[in-house]
Amino acid sequence: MEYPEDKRILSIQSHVTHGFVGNKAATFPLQCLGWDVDVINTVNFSNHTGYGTVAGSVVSSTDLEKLYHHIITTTGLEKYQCLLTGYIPNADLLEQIGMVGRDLKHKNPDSIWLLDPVMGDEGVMYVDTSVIQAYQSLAKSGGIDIITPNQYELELLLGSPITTELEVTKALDILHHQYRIKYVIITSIYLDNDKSSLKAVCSDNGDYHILEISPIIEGYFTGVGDLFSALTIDRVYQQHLHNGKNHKQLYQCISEVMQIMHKVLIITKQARELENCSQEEKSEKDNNNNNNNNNNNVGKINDGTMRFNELRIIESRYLFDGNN
Amino acid sequence: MKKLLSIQSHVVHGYVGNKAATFPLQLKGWDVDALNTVQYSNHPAYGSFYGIKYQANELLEIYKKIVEVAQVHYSVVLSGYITSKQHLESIIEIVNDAKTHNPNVKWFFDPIIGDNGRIYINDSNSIIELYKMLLRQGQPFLVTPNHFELELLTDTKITNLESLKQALTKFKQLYPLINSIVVTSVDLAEDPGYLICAGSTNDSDTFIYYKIPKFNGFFFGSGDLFGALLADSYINHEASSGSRIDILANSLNEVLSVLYHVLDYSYRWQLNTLAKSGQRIAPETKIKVNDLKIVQCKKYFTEDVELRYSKMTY
Repeated sequence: MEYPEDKRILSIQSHVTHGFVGNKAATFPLQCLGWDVDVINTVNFSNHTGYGTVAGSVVSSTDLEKLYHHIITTTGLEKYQCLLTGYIPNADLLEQIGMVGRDLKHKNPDSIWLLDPVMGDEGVMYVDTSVIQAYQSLAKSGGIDIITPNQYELELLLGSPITTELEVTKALDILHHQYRIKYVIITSIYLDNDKSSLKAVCSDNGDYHILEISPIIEGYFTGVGDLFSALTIDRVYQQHLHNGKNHKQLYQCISEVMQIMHKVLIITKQARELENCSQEEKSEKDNNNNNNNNNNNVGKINDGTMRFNELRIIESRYLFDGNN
Repeated sequence: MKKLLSIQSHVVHGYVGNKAATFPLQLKGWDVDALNTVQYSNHPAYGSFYGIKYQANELLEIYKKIVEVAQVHYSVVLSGYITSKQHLESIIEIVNDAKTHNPNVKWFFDPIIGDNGRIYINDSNSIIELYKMLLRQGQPFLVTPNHFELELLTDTKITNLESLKQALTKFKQLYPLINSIVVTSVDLAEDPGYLICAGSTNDSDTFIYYKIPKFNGFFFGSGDLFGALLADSYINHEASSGSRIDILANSLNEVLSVLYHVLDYSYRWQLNTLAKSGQRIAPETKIKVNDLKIVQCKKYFTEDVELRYSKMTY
């Protein structure tokens, strides 16, 4: 019998028992795509913080270091092909992750590290301010292959507003040439303050393309970035494998990922509408309008409708078979 | 959407506990809420590990928060390895609360104590007592002890088919409220090439069993995978009509047939890996298969698998 090559990825992100963000959003699609995912959970939470309230605990940087160390020493499987890091709640943990990233790179120089510098979106920060500086030094310290900030995170990272194409090219220049990061994907950006058109920028060592993001599906969906980075690292890894033949450029990979994301969001929206209907029926029966005086469950932080907006990762499973 | 709460351990590397249960269940369309009891680097049988245990009250707080913010109604609760009496008490409280939201919630309960005559939980005396009380009160729906655990829960030594039947009968006398009992791997001296997987329900005197050829390997996580698949298969078979013993028998055959492929693939992969690394394995050597190849076996969870076993009745 022939055995496919082992694909091992270490994913260091948050865990929520309920819902789909962080490792819960990334692990299942990657497993569907044939990855053995080693999952380090930076937090053990009931749900994502967008609900406004959570229960659970955060792992300490010492525990993170020891978990990593034991996996490397006891399993005897030293090589990871990929490292995926997302939401990291504090600077201590972030420093530890820098250590892990450099160590994996040292053990396997061909490995790929995708760093998603999760800090906030559209002017709202959702990490401690100490994290900004930690990301700035991490970004400079080398070893990162792919970085996926949104516009706000890019501005925090480089410490200046980035709103025009010229500013984007300057930012790309710093990330590629000073920080030696090969692939930069700005996952969402409004250029020239044109709020009618959301764009993404994909840059392979300065060769950049601007992609239109199809009209945003109304609503607040957490976990989109985490699913995006998981699908992206898989595509970029395949790209490395097939370097030379059937070569797809970065922007082609990313637009494929975005098409899948779009389908996931449509499935999510349909499921939301379905539950919204049954919820309305229920609330008529119960004559209980606490959460349902607003019939559009478009989901704003802590307004009680967040539960309808969890990504429907499981219902979307047919999209993660590698043929999409 | 089918919702399931799985209260088990988390390992960063490998496939035991929630790592063994979650992916197959998700492939089968379950929205799995994975409530992790621990975060370990790997399973302890590797020889060394590092890990964090989550507090018993943290489990309860996480569960309560989910109910508060998301109003989830579970149709199944799965539980496995338990690290202390306090953790078990939290889980009981969770299941009792889940029943107030959905009276039909089914608790698939693996009463983990040990295996092959060896106990591997702490605080085993008080946990065994608590298990017995729980079984008497009838909170779990379906219970999956192994050979050794069934002996401990019934104070009956199992050495042949006759004493297996006695143990199952005694289980049903002691714990009449438990809907179904499945004993997962009975190893009898009279039939050393096989394991027996037997089941019975509290509305029938018969018990059914399957004879499963043994693999020459040690596996980790196979019980957790079995429990997860059984929950899924049982719920699916229950939807079609039939007697409860038939539902159980058909589910078991399906689950054992899927498990065969996962163990077979994992075992061969391990042999192949050992061979590639230049290790020579004597033909009769029992090899250690540390990690089930759950991801590589995806198709066995998504496609129909031919049933392999013939039902025996006793």
